[in-house]
Amino acid sequence: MAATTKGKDLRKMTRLELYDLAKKLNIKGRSSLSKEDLISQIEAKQEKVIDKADGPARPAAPSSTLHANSRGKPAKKGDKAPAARQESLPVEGVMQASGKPFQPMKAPEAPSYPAERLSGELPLGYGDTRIVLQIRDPYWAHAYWEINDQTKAELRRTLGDEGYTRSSFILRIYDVTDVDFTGDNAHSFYDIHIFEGANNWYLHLGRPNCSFVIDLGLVSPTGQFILIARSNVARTPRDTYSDVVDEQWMVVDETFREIYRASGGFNVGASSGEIRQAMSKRLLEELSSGAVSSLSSSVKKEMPARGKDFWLVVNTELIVYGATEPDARLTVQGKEVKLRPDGTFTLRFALPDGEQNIPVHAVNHDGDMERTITPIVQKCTR
Amino acid sequence: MKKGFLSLVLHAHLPYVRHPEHADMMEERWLFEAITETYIPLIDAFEGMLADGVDFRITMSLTPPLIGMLTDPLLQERYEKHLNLVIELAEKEVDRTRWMPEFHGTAQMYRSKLHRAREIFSQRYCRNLVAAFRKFQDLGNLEVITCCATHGYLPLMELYRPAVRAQIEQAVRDYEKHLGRRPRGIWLAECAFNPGDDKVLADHGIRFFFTDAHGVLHAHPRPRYGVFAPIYTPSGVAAFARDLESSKQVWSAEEGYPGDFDYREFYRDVGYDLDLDYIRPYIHESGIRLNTGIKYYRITTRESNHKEPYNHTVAMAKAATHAGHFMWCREKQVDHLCGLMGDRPPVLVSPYDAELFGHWWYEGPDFINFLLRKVACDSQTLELITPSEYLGRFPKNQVAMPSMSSWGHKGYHEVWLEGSNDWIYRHLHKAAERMIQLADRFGEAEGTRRRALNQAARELMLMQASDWAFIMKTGTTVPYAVKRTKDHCVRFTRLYHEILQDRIDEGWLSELEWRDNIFPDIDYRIYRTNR
Repeated sequence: MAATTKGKDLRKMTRLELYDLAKKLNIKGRSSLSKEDLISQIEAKQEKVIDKADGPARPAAPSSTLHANSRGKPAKKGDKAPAARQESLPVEGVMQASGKPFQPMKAPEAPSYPAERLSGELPLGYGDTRIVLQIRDPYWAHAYWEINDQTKAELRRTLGDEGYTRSSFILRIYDVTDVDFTGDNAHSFYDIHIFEGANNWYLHLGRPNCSFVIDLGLVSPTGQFILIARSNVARTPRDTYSDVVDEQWMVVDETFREIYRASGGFNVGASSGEIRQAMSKRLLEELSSGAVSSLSSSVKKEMPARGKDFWLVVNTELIVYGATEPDARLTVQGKEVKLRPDGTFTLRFALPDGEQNIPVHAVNHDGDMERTITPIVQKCTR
Repeated sequence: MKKGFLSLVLHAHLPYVRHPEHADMMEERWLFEAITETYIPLIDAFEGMLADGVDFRITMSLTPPLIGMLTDPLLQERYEKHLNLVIELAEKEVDRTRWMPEFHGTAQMYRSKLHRAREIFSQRYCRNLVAAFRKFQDLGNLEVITCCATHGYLPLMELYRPAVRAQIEQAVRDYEKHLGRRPRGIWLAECAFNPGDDKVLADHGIRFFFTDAHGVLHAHPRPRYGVFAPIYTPSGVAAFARDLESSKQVWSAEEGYPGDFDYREFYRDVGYDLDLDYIRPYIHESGIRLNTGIKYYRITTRESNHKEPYNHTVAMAKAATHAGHFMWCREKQVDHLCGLMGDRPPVLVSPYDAELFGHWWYEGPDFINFLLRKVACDSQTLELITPSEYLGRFPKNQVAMPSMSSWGHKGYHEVWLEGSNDWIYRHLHKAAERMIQLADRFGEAEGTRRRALNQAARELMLMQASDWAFIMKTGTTVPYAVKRTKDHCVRFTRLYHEILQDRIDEGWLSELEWRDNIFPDIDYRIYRTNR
């Protein structure tokens, strides 16, 4: 990625392209800026980048807590990472980090402070042009992709600036079940239009037990399809029992259907999800320091909600404390109490309504001297 | 011979949450609670059966991260310290409740259980609970199986077969180190199977694994016995399938046993209910209230917040009743199936998360205890069996390829691949690709480079734990899961660049080795393509 784009080059760009660049630079309010404003904001940002790139490597200023969002989606609650990005971190592809300019790719600098090199944000991409297809279930799949700058530049060269801008990105989904796909021998295909900024998509394939390949491509204004990247082949699982029967292990259909029913076959996936999830939630929720931020969220749990109404809880406790010779034996209400090394003791009782006689009895080490003191406590609640 | 078999399988797992850099990291309490409430009570139940001469059978997967934490000296020491603190609180509670007979018995129960836990942990097994499980395995009552090295979700790793293989190979090595022989079986993380993974298992001498019901039911060709007998995959590994009926009885939110009104209520804990000054030493050092494990109420009702005091004796009687009911249901199931199965006795495979018993369902370990005793001693119909024993007795099984599946909600990958967590895969995949690239390029690295390569392998594996995606999906403690994913990825990426540029920062490498110390003897060469 070139570090900057000169001002006059900026002026040649369309507003959409400028907008993309502004997005990469994380310029706030970019969608409402005019072309001229976009250019001046971008120039301002880029100057900072040059400063940084030419200056000596140094740790990010301590005040610059980053709330970086590496996914091009609105930041979620959980995204806040306290660690500040290091100048020397090798950056791949393009980063977005609010409050900071994006950094050009360069080799790692001399080692900096280890503790700050342990965390950070992830890159938006890795400088590849590729698409990956993953099956989610018998009907759905997920694809993610990345188009690097070189590929984009080539496309732009091929199509011309205007042609490129007016082309649309599509995913072409091929059914390649049981064929060795060569690009034109699929059973069928269909297209999904995607917007340029997207980098992943959920696809409704709708066909269990079939194989699929996806092409990421551009459709030019003249309707020409230009392949950008082709995915791996992926196969959806079956959504019912196989119709192939093994001769060695054959049974009549009714018997199999009854076995299938008894096995829960008509109830697939209605499994243990809810409780397992609830269980894990409970295991985790009370006990997390999270990325620091969740500490505050736990505080709210101090007072469990007891309904909407105003409420009051009052409990009473009684503390009985005292001291004797450290080697004496002490009982309270007939039960032995362990003394602290200095001979003191403290007992704390929940105090229900009623009267409590609390004889405190001490015997010295030799067993020839004793003392008893008996507090009497009466509690009632009105 | 009995008419059918019951194979109980407990999957014991926690993500690797060791944080030497923090004195009181709340996530470490996940481990501490599971030790006190699940692992020790199960060991105690096994001890009891052994003492009474009950010939029980049960299967447990102990995942490599869990074994790593249970055998880690720092965590052992921290757990002991934690346990001592809880015991101190329990002692005070016995005093405090002296004039409240409705709570006093429960306070005494906690005190005695916790003292027993300390006796088992510190004295009997010298802080190493893996030794306890190994003992029961050597006695033939327990079959310990392994799991993917860091609970990596294999179907979403499909593009990088060497990474899949490394998850298995590292698990097998780790098992051998701690259990003294190679594992015969594996619990695939989240029960997630992808056709082809069976070959990797076969290559590592693993003889069986588990799928959810539809994994085997939708096998190709059609499985003659449904989920009630294992099938062999084309590579010769047996696949046992989960019996949904027995699962539902325990798991179901409505009908499940754990929701019984006599059982202990989780959400009323003295950590929240008592005076802050009193409870302060036993909660988080920052003063944040949290669960201490001492709870005095029973579930009572679903309709309101009104809670009655817990009565342990009543709850125990209920657990015994439920164990009897569970057994009766399985016997009815077997009776019904016999007519359909011909000459093959059905095997009911009932897998659960181990932490369900004890942590979620306080009386769960007692339920297991009662159930194993009842089936072993009383049942005319059922026999307890481990998968290895079953395969020994019934070596001839149908060959079929199970279908891709998992035991997650809806039965496939949706829990781990959805809006909250789909962003992680481009990073997991890139890191896997790079690790394989490094291993291929540096065939026989030595010295610092070797250390860096091994550490890169650790970071990748930690990043691959399915727990992070699961937590992101469940929506609790998301920041921790996101941070763990990012941290390991950032650390991996930097190692990758430093290794390639031959400018490894040794001080930083040592820091990582100290922090992310899972698998001390990992060998990065398990990632090589041609092995």
